[in-house]
Amino acid sequence: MPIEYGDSTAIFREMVGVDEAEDLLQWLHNKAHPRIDLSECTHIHPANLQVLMAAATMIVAWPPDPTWRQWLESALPKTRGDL
Amino acid sequence: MNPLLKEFLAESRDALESIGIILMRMEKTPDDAQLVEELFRIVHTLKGSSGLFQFPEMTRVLHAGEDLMSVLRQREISFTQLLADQLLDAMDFVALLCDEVESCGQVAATHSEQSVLLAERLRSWIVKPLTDSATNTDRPTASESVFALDDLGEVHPLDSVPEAIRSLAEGRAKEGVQLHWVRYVPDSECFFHGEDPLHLARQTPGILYGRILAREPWPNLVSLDAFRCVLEYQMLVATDLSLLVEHFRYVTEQVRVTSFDPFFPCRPSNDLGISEIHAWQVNRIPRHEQNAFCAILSAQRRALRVESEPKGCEGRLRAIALVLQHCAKAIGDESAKPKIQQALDAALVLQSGKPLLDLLHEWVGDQDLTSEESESSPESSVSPAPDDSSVSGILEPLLDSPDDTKSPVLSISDTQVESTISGLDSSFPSDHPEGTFSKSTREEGPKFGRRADDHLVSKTLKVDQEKIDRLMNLIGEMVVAKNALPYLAKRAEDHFGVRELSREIKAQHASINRIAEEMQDAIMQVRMMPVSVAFQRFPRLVRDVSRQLGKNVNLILEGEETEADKNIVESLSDPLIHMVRNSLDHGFETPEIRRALGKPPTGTLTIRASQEADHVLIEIQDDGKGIDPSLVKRKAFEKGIIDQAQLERISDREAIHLVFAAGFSTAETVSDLSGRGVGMDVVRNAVEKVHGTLALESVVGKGTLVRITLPLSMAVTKVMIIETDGQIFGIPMDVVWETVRVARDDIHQVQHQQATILRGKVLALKPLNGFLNLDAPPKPNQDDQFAVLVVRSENGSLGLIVDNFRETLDVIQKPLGSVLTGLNSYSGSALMGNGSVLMILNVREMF
Amino acid sequence: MNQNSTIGMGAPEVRLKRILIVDDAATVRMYHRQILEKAGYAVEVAINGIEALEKALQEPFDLYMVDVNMPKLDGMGFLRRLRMEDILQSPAIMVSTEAEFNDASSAFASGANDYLVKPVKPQQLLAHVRLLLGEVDA
Repeated sequence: MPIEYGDSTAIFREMVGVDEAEDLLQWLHNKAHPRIDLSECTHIHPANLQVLMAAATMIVAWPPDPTWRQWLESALPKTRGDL
Repeated sequence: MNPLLKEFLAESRDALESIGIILMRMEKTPDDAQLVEELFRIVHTLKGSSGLFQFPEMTRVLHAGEDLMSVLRQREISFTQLLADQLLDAMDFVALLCDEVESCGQVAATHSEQSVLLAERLRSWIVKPLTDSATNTDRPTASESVFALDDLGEVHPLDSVPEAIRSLAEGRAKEGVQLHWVRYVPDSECFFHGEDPLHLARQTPGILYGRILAREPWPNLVSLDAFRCVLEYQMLVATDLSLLVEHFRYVTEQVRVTSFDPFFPCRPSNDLGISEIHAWQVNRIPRHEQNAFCAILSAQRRALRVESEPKGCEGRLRAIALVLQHCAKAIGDESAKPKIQQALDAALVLQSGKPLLDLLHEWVGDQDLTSEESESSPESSVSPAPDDSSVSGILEPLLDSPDDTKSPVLSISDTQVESTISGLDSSFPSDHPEGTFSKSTREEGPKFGRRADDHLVSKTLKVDQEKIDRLMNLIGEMVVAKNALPYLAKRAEDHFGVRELSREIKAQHASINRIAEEMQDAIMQVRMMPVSVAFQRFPRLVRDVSRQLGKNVNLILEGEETEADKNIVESLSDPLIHMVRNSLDHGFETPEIRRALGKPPTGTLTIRASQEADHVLIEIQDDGKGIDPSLVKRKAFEKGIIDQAQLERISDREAIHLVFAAGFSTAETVSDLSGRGVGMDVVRNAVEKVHGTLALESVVGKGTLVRITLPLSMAVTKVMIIETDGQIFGIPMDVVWETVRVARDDIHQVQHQQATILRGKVLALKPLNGFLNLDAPPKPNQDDQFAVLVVRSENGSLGLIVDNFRETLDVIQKPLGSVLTGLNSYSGSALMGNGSVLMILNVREMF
Repeated sequence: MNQNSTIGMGAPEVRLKRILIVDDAATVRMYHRQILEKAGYAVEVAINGIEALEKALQEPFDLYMVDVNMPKLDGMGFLRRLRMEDILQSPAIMVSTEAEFNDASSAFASGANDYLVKPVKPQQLLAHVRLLLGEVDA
């Protein structure tokens, strides 16, 4: 599974494709304080990214690749406290 | 409407019309370099103007057109019919957009697709890799509105880039790599096409920085459509433009590239470039002007370095020195003034820019001078220290490099310019841009000079028609006034018995007469214009209409250079179009039918203009099916235009002229009528209005010929003077066919009508006296022959019996005064030299 | 507008800086004119190099803003002629499209002092003009 949904944290793994967006949206919608872990993620299809952006989701972990992280940081609120 | 927009619409309409005309002419002379040049210039200008507004659809198409014209101009491709078609299509599209802008103030987004299509089609002609130009189209400079005057607070995209990345970018720029700001706005439906824009963006070659922005505010999560793409991607990229284009080749339309200011790639902040110029205390000028300041200095340096001809050298040097003075003044450096003056003096003596160049280098680059200046000026000590430190690291290698200049910053700018150019224009093999430059300078140098001289000689004035009309009236009065002189001479001799004086008056008259005639001729010449003006629309019309009708018609225009009075030419345009349309619609058969009839499948429509004596003859000839007289007769009878008796009597030749009769044709008769017919009475009226005549010849199965005869000028009418019952009258020469003498014995009485046989044909005769209600019978000459003036109108020929023929005369015809307007027998009057009035007969009323 | 243009009634006579815009595109002329007039310059226009030269010879300008591609006498030709006249040594800006930027060197060789690429932004234009005219912020 590209996205592993936990109680309040979803872990994105490697490539997250377009098909995940629907489930992600549903999950985010149902969680009061959803958190996202991107540390293992190498690429996100923008459909998912849009959902994350719209939900202003808290990112708890960023990917190690600085360039990729910088792309993501430009779109997602980065000050929402790294854990 | 915004006056600028209004101006633009007017300008575009003119331009589009000219483009159409030129394209038509090019179909005839595809190799005419001047036409291509002109075409390029017009498209180019139009594109430039459209760039001032936010009409990306229009600019895109025009830009493609311009690029196409550019390669056409360089003879990389040759002109073809298809190319013209597509360009015309594109221009029609632009015209459509103009209309739309005029009516609703904007261009609907729905045109975007078509504009892309049209632009692509135009570009497909360009043999060179279309990649470069494709991106050029999307340069934001062209598509972003720069019109709003309030964009002064615009934030440079680089301002938002983290400092570390910015210095990285600057480093790359110094290495000569080109910097671009890329905006990628994917199509909102792109996810459904399996696209992953983020992936594409991340893979961009030479990417230094990227960011993702939402194009619209986020809705509530419940109503969010995850699969509608609403993101846009912005990137700072250091690479060749061509690689960028290659990378985004499938989505070129969604990508905007800004290539950075070649002079100063990284404009914002005072960290680079600016800090070098402490001597100039650049910080004194407002920050937004600092870039301009550097660009201007850099420009002076280029101007001083560039190879140029000695002519005008002094002026160039003085101008450069003046700019330097102004720059110094702008930053408040008073001490620079005498130095610049000194350098200028030296430069003028040497006829070389070197002293000024040295001065510039000294100031811009020399570190010693910097410190010296800092001490003397309080402001520069305030200048923040971090500037120096942040810059020095990057600059060191360059300072050590064996550059011919002491100014690293400016030399970088130059490199930057050249790389931009090589990136933008792949027609220049850019392994050594510097070489390209100097070469082009050499080539262009003498050419420009010569062109300038060529054109300075010829001047064209635009003059109001009213002013020319006034001249025309004045010369008319003068012609009449001068005709009084012979009478004066006669009086001098007869009344006062001074022959000497009489002779002198006559001599004076002769010379005034000559001058007046020349003057009249000259004024007429001013009003003359080639009939080609009226012909211009035909090639397009014929092509469009014939294609629409599925017919193949080849248009031949002849004698376009024939000149006629402006009014005549202008009045010609509409009736001609009418006839051409008719001919296409009804005259020509479809290719299949033509083939079946054994005719060439492509029909030929010839429009011929020629000058015959004082007339312009226009012939419109087709090789279509001709007009069937029996059909016309029946139709005319059904319409009540002719009665039963006429139906039986009328000749075929007369019958076909019935198509010009009022009420002959109406819309519903079009489809079933063979031959011409739609609104031909309109044509006749238009021609008659300018004293022209119309004749028709047609052979069934072979084609139709319409002949329009028009006076050269409306102002002067040539009339024949005839004498009858002791009076003289004028008859316009345009209706006079010939003059004959007919013996009394050859006049026969046919019913109530007199007639004679002229060259085997019956010619009806009417005594002019009867027409004018004069009781006197016509007077024959001593051989008992009558003078017969054969006149023609669209109704056929008529022989007018008069007493005698006199000379022909140019008169300036005036409409009849109010009391006489009811007299249909006369079309006007003219003043004769002796002050008497000559009545001009209206021959059409006599038939 | 002439040399005696003044600003306001009773104010000390101030000569407006005179700028000549030379461009064959009516819209571009008007656009540049609006920007410059709004900024308080006395602007005149010419539609080609010949007309421009005639106007300049009649009364020299403080700045010339010249399009590259024009009928009859183009921008380069105009500048060449301009620089041959002793009295006409005011700064000149060449304005062109990106494609013509190739010709920047020719422009400088002809006598241009500055080079702007169309469409020129108002702020950019005014910055260049102010500097070329040596105007200091009050």
